[in-house]
Amino acid sequence: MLNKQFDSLLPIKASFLLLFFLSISQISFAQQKITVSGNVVSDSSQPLSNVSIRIKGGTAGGTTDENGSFKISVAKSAVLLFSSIGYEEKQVTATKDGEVLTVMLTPSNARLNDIVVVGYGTRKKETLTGSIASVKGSDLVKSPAGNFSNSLAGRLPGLVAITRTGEPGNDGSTLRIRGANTLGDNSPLVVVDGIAGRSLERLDPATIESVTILKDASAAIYGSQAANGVILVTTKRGASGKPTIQFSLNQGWNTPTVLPKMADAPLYAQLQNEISAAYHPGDPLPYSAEDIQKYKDGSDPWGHPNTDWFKETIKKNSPQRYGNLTLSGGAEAIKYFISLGSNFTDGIFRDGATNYSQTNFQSNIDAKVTNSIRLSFDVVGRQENRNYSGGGANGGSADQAQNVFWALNRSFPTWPARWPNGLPGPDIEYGANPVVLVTDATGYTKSRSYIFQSNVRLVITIPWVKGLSLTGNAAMDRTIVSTKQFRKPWFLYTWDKTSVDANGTPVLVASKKGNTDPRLQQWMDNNSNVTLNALLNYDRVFDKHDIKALFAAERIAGDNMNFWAFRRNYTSDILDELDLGSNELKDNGGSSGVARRLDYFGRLSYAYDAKYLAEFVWRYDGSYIFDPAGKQFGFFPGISLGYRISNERFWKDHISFINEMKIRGSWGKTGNDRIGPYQYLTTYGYNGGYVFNENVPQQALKALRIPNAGVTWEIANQSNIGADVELLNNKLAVSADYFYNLRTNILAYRNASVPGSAGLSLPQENIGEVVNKGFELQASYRGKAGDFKYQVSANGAWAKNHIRFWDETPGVPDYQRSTGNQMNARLYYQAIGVFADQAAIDKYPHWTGARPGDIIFKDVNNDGQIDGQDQVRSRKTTIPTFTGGISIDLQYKNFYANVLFQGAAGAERSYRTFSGGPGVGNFMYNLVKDRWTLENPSAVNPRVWERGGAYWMTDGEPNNTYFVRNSDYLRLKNFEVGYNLSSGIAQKIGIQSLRIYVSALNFLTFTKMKDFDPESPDDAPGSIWVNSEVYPLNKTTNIGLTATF
Amino acid sequence: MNYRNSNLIYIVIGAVSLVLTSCGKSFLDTKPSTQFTEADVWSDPNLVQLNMNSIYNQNPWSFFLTSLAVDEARCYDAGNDYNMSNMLMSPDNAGWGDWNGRYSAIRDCNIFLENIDKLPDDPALIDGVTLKDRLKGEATFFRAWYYQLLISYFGGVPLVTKSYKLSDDFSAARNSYAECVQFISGECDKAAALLPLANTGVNKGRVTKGAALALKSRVLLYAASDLHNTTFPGFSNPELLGYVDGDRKQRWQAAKAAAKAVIDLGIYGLYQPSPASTEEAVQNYEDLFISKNSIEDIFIRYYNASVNQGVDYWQVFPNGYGGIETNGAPSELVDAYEMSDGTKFSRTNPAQNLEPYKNRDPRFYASILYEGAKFRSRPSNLLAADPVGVLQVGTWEKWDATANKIVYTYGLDSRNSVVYGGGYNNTGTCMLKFINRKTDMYVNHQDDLTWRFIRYSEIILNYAEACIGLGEEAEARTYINMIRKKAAMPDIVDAGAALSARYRNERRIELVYENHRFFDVRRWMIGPEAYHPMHGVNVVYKLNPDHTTATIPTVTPVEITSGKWDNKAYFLPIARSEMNKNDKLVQNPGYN
Repeated sequence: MLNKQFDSLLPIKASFLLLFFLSISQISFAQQKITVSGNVVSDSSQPLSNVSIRIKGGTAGGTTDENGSFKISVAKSAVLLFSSIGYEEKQVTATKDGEVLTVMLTPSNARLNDIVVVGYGTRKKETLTGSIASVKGSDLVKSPAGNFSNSLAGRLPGLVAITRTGEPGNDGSTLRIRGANTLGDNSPLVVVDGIAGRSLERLDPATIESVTILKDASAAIYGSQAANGVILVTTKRGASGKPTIQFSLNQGWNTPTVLPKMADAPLYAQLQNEISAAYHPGDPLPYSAEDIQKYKDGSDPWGHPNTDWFKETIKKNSPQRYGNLTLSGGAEAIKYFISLGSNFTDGIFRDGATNYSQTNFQSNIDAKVTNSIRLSFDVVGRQENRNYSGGGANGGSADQAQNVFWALNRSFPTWPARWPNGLPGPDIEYGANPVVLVTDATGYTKSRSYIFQSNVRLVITIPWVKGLSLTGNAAMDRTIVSTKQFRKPWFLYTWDKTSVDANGTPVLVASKKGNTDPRLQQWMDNNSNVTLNALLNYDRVFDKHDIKALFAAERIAGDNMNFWAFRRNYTSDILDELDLGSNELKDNGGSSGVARRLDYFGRLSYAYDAKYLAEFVWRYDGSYIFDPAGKQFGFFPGISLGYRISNERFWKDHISFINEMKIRGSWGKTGNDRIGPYQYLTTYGYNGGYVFNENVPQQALKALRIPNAGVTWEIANQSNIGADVELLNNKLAVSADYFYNLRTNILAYRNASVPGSAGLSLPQENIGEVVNKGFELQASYRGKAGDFKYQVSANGAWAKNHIRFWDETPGVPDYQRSTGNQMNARLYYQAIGVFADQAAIDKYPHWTGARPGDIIFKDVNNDGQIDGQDQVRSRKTTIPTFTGGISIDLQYKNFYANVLFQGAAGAERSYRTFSGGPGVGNFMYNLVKDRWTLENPSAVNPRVWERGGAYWMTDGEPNNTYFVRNSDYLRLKNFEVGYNLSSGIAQKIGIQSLRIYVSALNFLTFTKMKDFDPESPDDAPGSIWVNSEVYPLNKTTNIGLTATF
Repeated sequence: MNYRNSNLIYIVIGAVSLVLTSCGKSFLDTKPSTQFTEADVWSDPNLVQLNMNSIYNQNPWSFFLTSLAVDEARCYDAGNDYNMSNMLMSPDNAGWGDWNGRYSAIRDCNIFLENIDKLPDDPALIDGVTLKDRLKGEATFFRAWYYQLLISYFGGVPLVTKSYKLSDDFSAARNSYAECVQFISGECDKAAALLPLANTGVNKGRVTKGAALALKSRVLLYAASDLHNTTFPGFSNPELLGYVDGDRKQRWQAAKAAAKAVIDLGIYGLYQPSPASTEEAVQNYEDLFISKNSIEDIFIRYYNASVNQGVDYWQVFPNGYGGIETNGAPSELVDAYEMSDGTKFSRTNPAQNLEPYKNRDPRFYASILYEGAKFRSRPSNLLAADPVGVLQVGTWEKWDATANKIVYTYGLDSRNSVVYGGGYNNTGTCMLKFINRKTDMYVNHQDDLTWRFIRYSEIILNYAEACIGLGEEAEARTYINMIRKKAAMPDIVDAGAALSARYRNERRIELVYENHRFFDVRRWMIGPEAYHPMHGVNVVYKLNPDHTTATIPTVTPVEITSGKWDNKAYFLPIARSEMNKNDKLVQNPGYN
């Protein structure tokens, strides 16, 4: 009857076949039961709640309550195992009925007892076989970074985090696990609380329990999205005990890590004279000696200003604030963790409109419905507010920061940012006076993101089968982004340098800049993502055999929809609603899309005597991206083995000073499906338009692609071997890993060999192959001397990729081939000096039209002429090959300090700068300070150049190694120094504990790179950002306090 | 275990598995929500027409086209045009001619011609032809048009007449120049047979029989020109650049016949062919280029600001009127305009040198703004400085009696203007042709424009040039004088080399800024005349000895950009990347 009912309820599902199988094989026998009770306490006699109690050779026996008490019914002489994170496991034998035990747990030295989050589950670190690194939230919370992704750098071996920009709201780090592995999308999969595809950037650090990265085949359980590694973020949950309220408050100040140094007005005038003399010989020089003197001495602020545009536009310090309140606690039946947080980051601009703020709420509730049913209900709500100015005029970029930094580089130091009477000075073009561009005089851009994430988790312990449980998750994530941009004209003031009023004060003329009329555009994006999964877990120990099995199914449905509307010719800029704009030239648009995934996955782990370890993970993944005719599904397996050699008797007997020694290895196949969907279809889309009959606009429909019916996943073959060692009484722990990743089936265009005369853009095809290999080393040591406790951890990772195969243009010489080199390595002419004089030019092959002071390009192929064949593929890219961090924790009585040094090496960046010639911008001081002139022919730097007038500098696009810099750096990424108010004093003022501290981010940087931060981009694929046009990185100093009630 | 609990478990397990399996495999079968499939497109006449629109849309146009790369215009920012003027072009900076863009459009034409027959037949006639014939004719025309653009830059190119599939061999050798001309001309005939004589209603602006015949006239005229009937010494593949055999006279005859075929259609004419005065001629010439439609239109494209597809005039407006003035005329062009009596302008003539902008060819006043020329009203904040609204590029020397020294005031449109410092050009003039004086940059950057890729005056001039090539000078003069009469210029009576020179100048003036000069300089092989250091003018209102300021400015030519000529520039380089990918290609001479 029962089985029949079962069948009628359930369609045929492999998961339940497994359930039946296990239920048949269940072994149970009667035994004499006794009941024991007691308390678990710490070494300082504090009761320990939530301590897990297991019966040796059996299953879970329960946990202690908020008072550390437990009561358990077991077989006589059963061995009870008490374990809790951070404590040594303790064994106690239950001898007689009614016995009352006091169990004291001692803090653990061994890190291997830590519980580590893995895909769809957790593992004790001692039995891990994959290459997995994790960091606790308590370490990450020490970073005052406004963006959570920026606190990860240097903490996790193998994770490369590069901060590209410090612009509030857009300041996330580019994250790469083990560097870059593919020519396509290299971003890792982010999983927050078990739900894939959530973002980690805006998480409140106070809610983070841990961050784990899966670097090798252990990620295969995430199948087609796992090839770039997986980042698992786990948030905190409630524990049994009385309600605890924790309150944190931080006040920080941001300042750019570095700003480019530009030529000042006297130097600029001198440079313009040099340019004029070189390019327009015979013309009168634009600046007289008297002019230059006036720029220098500041005697004529109206006619001869000397403007430091960066200083005029950027504040010394801009504030940021962060506050958080959490409430946690619970009892047997219900536990809760509730957090409310808020932060604010101001932009660095004077009177700037730029800032970011967010308010976030999280509630994680765990309820025990019955003995066998547990229900969790998690809700996250967050509002993100991004505010910028109007963004400049049409014709400029829509990106406000880009407009500002572009204008900062282009403005002349000989022009006033503001006139002596405070009115803004003129623009170079587009009305782009940066001191005005940053303000709300240009209008505003307001973006509001509303994020709502929920997850209901049901865990059912199947009563009929020991060790079997079923977990179901239903998660719904929704993000709504509403953006409103109101651009209005602003006024700048010019002086004709002659008109003065009766008092002799210069007469300024106002002129309207930017758009001619106020314009409003609004966007609305609506994204939803629904994840449903069911996981069947079997977890049981038979004597020395520890078996864990997981079988699961998951479906993910993503939907997005967006639309926008635009009106212009607002009569007044007082009211800014769509309804009030003109009906003429109004415009709108919209689109939508879907994403669907259907997956089956599982894991089988086996450990014998916690010594021989084996694990198999797999995923059968279905994705909407591929052709329904047989290409939608793929199978991704991963296998790993471990051997805890230190658990062998001979080891314990002879090599006991090494407390732990585990060697492990893994191999797996994962996929990467981050490519445009529907590449198997020929489709036609609207693309541009055309006007007929004077004023009838018609759409144009264009074939968007040539289909590639066979398009499929990228495949990552990942191999890893590693070892974990603990010695000196577990004080020193060392882990090492070596990996070899071969990515095949990379989607790449074959266009490199397709001539333009074919007229076609080929579809991407699965042809690319990239090898990425490297190693990681991590060591930590902790110790104490009296009241002085310390821990030092260091990690370093080296990874370097090379293209094994892709479509290489057939005719290129060997030194230009990208195959065999790192991905995205650029071609550069080789700068080997500066032509001192005409004689030097005559002696060496040179670019047509080269003149003294020009950069010498090396004649690489020795053919006596300089042309495109003399470019050489660079050995470096903008992604560092080595990254590492050193973290030092110190504690003396109530004082503590944490210091994190972080560094990266092996990358290069090119200097992007405007030419500075007449009409367009200023020179960077470092490029002109020791320049070639007639008087200084043996200079390191070339002559000053006119825009478009130098073969070695097209505007902002350096083509040669002169502009390329080594961007290695070491920085004091983070420190926190604090004081814990001793509990006695704290309790007197009614609080449990109080901590006050000072902390900093990016406090010191050691690098050869000048003018730009070594992490700032000189390119960003798919982006227009370059370092001279990007908001700089922040250096943050912070004070804060945390109080617990 | 109690009964209630187990029921709850069943319900939950059941619910979870139902949810997971409810959709099955079809769950993954989604479709793009903003794109049509191939089958959708080729069965729907509306979508097929939209597809044709994208072929129209790829026809390149900007105010500059080639004017900055030849002696028609200079701007403050040289860029890649600097490389052209200084003969620095190479396979590494080969951006001219947009090889890849043209071939991409040609591929779209090929796909269109391969698929158009899938569209069900509809016997209904629109403007005298069926929809399918018209669309075939349009695709045929555009393929020929895009090839004509390519051969004008590169000489013979690979003739690709089918759309490649993924598995095809993409390498292709260049066809000879003669083959290309023959192909294009044949395609023009095919298109002419399919296309309507004129379009009406919503189809206005589509190509016609006349456009196809006019394209044929242009390509055959080019083919008969010196450039393609000359041998480049030392170049191993002369057939790529021009004719290596055959009769040049026949080419002239073919060119003449092709132009005549357009004339004989009888539906085109010159705009206002007999003005009553020079003033009227000035007005007519200006009106022609800002009119929506005219009797001269053979192949046009509409731009319309009211539907958000206007033309951005910001680039060509004077800086004192809110633009950046990128197409200013060098002195060489200004000087090429004859005096209104038909004599040559000369700097050595004291009166002409003193007031160089006086009594010139009426077309000058409708094509170029110069110091003091009335343009339009200034924005309100500049009305005090210039109540009339003229072009001000000059410098005023004024006497400051209190300080006892000269002070300078700079014109609102000069490089030292108080209004705008970033964009200006140093020629001392500004392009006026195509600009509607009513356009206010401070209200709207965009305005309407009808761009005339081919207009009837060109055909008349093509015909005249072919006649000169054939020695039929009287006929040539008749047609040249039609153009001159329209401009209120006196007839010419020259013969021989003088006639040829006169014709060339007439074409230069009549078709200025219309994307002809760049190619004409090449096919006439007069590179050195057009590429050399270029001049602008310094305009100064000088201080008189009595400390008053002159009212007539001193206009002095000054060198503003460098320049030189090299014969390699007769043809442009094929990009190195293209050469590397297609080993059958032969590079043009001078670029190896």
